[in-house]
Amino acid sequence: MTGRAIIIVVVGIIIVAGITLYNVEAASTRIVTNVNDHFSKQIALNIAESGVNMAITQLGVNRTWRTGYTSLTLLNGVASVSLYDTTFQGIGCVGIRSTAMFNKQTATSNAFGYFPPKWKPISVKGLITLPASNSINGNITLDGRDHDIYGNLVSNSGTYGVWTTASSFTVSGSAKVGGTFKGIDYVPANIPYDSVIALNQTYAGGYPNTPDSALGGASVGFTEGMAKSIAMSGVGGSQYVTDPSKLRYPLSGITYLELPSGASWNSATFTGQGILIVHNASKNSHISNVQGTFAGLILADNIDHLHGTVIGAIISLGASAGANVIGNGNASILYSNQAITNSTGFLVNGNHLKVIAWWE
Amino acid sequence: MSGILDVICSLVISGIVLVMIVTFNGTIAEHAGAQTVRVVTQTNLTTACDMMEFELRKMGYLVPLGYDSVITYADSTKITFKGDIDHNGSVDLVTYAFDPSITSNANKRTHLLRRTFNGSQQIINVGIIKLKITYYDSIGTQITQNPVTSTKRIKSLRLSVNGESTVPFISSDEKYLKFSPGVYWERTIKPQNLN
Repeated sequence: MTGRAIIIVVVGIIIVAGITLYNVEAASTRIVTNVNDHFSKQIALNIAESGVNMAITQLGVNRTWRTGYTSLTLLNGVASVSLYDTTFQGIGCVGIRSTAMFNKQTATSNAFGYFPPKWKPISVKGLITLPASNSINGNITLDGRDHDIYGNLVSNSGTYGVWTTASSFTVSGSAKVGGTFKGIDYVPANIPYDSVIALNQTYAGGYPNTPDSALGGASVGFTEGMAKSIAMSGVGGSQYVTDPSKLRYPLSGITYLELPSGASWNSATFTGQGILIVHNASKNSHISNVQGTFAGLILADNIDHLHGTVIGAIISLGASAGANVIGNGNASILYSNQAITNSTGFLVNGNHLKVIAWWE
Repeated sequence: MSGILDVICSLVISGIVLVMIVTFNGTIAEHAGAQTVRVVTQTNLTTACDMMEFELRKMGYLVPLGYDSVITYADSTKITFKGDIDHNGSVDLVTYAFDPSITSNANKRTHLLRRTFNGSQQIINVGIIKLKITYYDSIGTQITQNPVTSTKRIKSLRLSVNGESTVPFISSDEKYLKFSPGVYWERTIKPQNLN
């Protein structure tokens, strides 16, 4: 009887110990699971943020991209990214929602961003902005009316055909000048309307005679040398050369030609787009007898004998801009707000989305 | 005579075995208790920290430009910040503050965490014994000033929290380490809206 009792007690204790051990193990498992879940949740959030950042990068390439990603494998997890157009705090935005899963834990990251307004340098006073007298002849047409980047007319939103600090600008031969004055378009004419050629103008703060000052100066981030540095960086296809023969076409980004004192880029081909700078420290370089089609902004010390087609605007930086005729052949120079803002677009926050808020 | 001796010997041996089993059972029970307290402590702390992290990550959300700073006060144990935490379109003011005063908890080492949301205070009593907030600037340099006077410099922060169970529990193998089973949680948070 005593032995049986002992056996019952021992078996009972073993059962109790077994249950207790099971509970200890279960508690240990819960501790580990808690840590594991916590870690997994953090990784899931990191994956979700990566998904948002990938979408932002893709939007830098293509602003209209809304495809998103489905079941994208990242960091041993899976992310799905969707994009949608929305309004956030009164701003037209692109919404990005990234949901990630890692080890059964999910996390979502939302970002709202917008593309900053395009920017036009204040130094663009007219289709051609000059610090000196000049003239045109031949068959050149200066049309200060607004155009799209393909040269199609955009009504009543253009500018002067010519803006100059000098007292004269001569139009002869079969050359024509047109433009927009007080919101009214004036068709290019050989005897142009007076209002489309602005003479005796004053540039507040002094006429810009360097590329950086023409792009807005230090107040907008263009300290002296900035444009050259951007060109040398190669961003957006930018180029910096001292020998025009080394240029690669089509031009894009900032194309910066720094020529020796008094040198001329003759028979220049400027096919491409962006910002074209022809400048040296003496401000006496020339771009001459140019040909091709260029869309964007041209900043040059001196401009001689324009041929081909320019869609955008031209600013002469050199004090001797009147040394030769700007155009004497067959050229079509069309003002285009779109071409200008496209050319400067990559300078303002790149092409990338400006994220204004995150929710995660 | 030998029969009586056999009975006595077997009783002694069975008594020893019984004592061993009871002692073993006691040890297991103690560990079971410790584990249970650990689980509760860890769960409490991670829940509280999840909540803090959830709100800290949202600091600055929908705060208009022009505010002096999203973070209005910051020291090593207290932070006050703005953000639309509840996503209702209005900016909220949130404070997390470690209260070092003695509590009514059985474990007197534990203290309260006070959360103030738009003036309404909530007490978080999950056994926090220590809370430290470290601040960093835009290049990751620690801001050693305490409290931080120029809170605009703060771009990220590290939250370190030590917790113990609110009830005292002395584990035989931890008596020189901790009064109660302890948990440590640390996280560096870079709020995305902190511009």
